[in-house]
Amino acid sequence: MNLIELRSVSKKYGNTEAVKNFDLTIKEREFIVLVGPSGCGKSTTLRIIAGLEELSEGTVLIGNQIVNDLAPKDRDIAMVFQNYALYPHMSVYNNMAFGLRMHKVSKDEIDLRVRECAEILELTDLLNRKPRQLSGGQKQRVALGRAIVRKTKFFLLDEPLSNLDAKLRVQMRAEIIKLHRKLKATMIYVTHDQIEAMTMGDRIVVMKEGEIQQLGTPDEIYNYPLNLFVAGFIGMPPMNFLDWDPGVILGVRPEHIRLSEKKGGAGLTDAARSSNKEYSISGNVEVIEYTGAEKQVFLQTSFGQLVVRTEPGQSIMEGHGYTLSFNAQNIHLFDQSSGMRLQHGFSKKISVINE
Amino acid sequence: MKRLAANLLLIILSAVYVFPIVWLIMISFKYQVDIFSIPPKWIFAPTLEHYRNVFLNSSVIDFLANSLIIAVGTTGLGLLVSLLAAYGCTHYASKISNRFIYSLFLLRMLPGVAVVVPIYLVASKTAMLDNYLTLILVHVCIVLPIAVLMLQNFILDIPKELEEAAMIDGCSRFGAFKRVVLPLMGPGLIATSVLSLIMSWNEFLFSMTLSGYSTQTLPVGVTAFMADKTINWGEIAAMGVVMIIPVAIFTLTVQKYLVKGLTMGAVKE
Ligand SMILES: Nc1ncnc2c1ncn2[C@@H]1O[C@H](COP(=O)(O)OP(=O)(O)OP(=O)(O)O)[C@@H](O)[C@H]1O
Ligand SMILES: [Mg+2]
Repeated sequence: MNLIELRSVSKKYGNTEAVKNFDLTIKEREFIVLVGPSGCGKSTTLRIIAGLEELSEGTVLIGNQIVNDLAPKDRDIAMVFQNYALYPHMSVYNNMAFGLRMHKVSKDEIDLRVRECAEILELTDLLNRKPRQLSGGQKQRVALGRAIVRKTKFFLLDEPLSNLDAKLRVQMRAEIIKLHRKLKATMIYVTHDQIEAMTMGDRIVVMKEGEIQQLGTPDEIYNYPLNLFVAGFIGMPPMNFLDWDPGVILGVRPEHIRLSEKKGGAGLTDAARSSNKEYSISGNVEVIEYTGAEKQVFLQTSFGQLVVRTEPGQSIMEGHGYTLSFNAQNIHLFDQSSGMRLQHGFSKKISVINE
Repeated sequence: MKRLAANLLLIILSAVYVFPIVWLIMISFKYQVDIFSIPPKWIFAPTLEHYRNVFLNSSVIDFLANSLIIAVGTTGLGLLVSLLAAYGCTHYASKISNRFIYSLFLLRMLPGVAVVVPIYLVASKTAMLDNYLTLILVHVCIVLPIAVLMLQNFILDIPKELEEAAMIDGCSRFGAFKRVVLPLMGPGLIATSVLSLIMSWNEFLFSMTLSGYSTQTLPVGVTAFMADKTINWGEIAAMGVVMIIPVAIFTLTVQKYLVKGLTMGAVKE
């Protein structure tokens, strides 16, 4: 059964169309991630599903029932707001207990759940504080706690980990995944974090200016981006784009390029070569950024600036010339004018996945 | 140096505000001869004569009770109506509701004397003169525009996500209003009620015209001491002091609830 369905949903604020002609079917127990640049309509999409926004057009279904006019409280959802929206006049404990009280959960059960949840989120010592006495990260965990304590069928999480430090973020990410399995809930998760999107999502929705650019598994999004926007948005550092042939843009990810010592020293004279299997171009190293686990090497080539990810062990020197080579399997070709993918590998691969 | 200047300015300003009150209090304790002495006497033999006159020779207790009934009634009814109006206009905001709020001010732009006669005629034809309800309703009309605007500003200070969170947590819209908006409106409600109380307490024109023997308020009662030939300044001053006291007590008591920042910590800054 398809649990949440948006059918040609649009939401306009005056002249800005925050969400355009949106079609999305979210399966039962799915963990779906919405990504996209700021202002692309992610929060608006969540608010539409929550019932907080009136639609300009379209239909929202939950469990095959049209819910356009169903109040938020009757949708069995919990939500983490991007700006937390904690009740300022209530303690942390009461913030989490509020929704349960509204649902007439027994006192003992409330206490049990709030404390269990506080334990998971490391909030136990803060239960008596008011929101104004909390740090940003603590507030965000309370906001998360207020949602997960509810144990609803649907969770709408709007960047719930954005304000946590790296360590806590990894820890909480795991907790959310665990919770998703344990509660058998459907989760819709908005994030800016590529790693969160790739590791948590069963499927990812890439959005831009209120429209879906691509919907697919992390593997599909990463390996078969449908257009230039998706190709450039997913992946860190982003995919390199080269004006390869007239009208054709060639994309290759920084992790798929190998650097090798160039015969004949510096300079770009050596033209690009391509065979059926291997592409190579030459370039000069301009900057090297060392992140510990890898080096990101920025090179100038006759196709413009490229970035390459290499092993930290490989010795590379600024100012030197190198040959950049990459396998034909790893390239992505796009039509320059429409930005659409030219290869058909995608649909072939999809049919394989669906079997 | 800057601080000194600022403090000096504050002292001068408060002197400007406090002086008339001090003067009023002084007059209320002076003998008739001292009241008019030139130059004014700062040191004088005090008397309670005027207070005695006020309490024995006039129905000041009745006036006080009337003023209290009308001011409290105005504040209660006014707050209820303006809270609903402000909430409605904020959350179902549309071009019409925005104009509505400003159209309320038309009421205030008209000078009172322009409407007092029609209102008097209506009240007299419907046998509503000398009636608490009439005075309360008229005072509510006077207070309403400012109360709505004030309350709307306090409502706008509450992030709308708070209410939305409550609605997702299982509240109806009214439930969210009651459980989340109202508790955060405390300072707004207090500030508005102080204003409304004072406005009604001091209102003269309509109270004068529409009240009668049994509903006269304090400001109207004061005029009893203005006889044909003489004006009893001592008694008027004493009554002025009597008028100030209840409002001052109320304002000072609720002042500590007039804190800002009740919504602090609710949302990401
Ligand atoms: N209440 C509103 N009134 C007018 N425009 C709005 C309103 N809410 C959102 N918008 C506009 O709708 C668009 C989508 O906003 P939305 O908040 O959904 O973006 P987002 O993808 O969540 O962005 P971010 O990543 O910055 O949170 C934006 O252009 C925004 O300016
Ligand atoms: Mg957002």
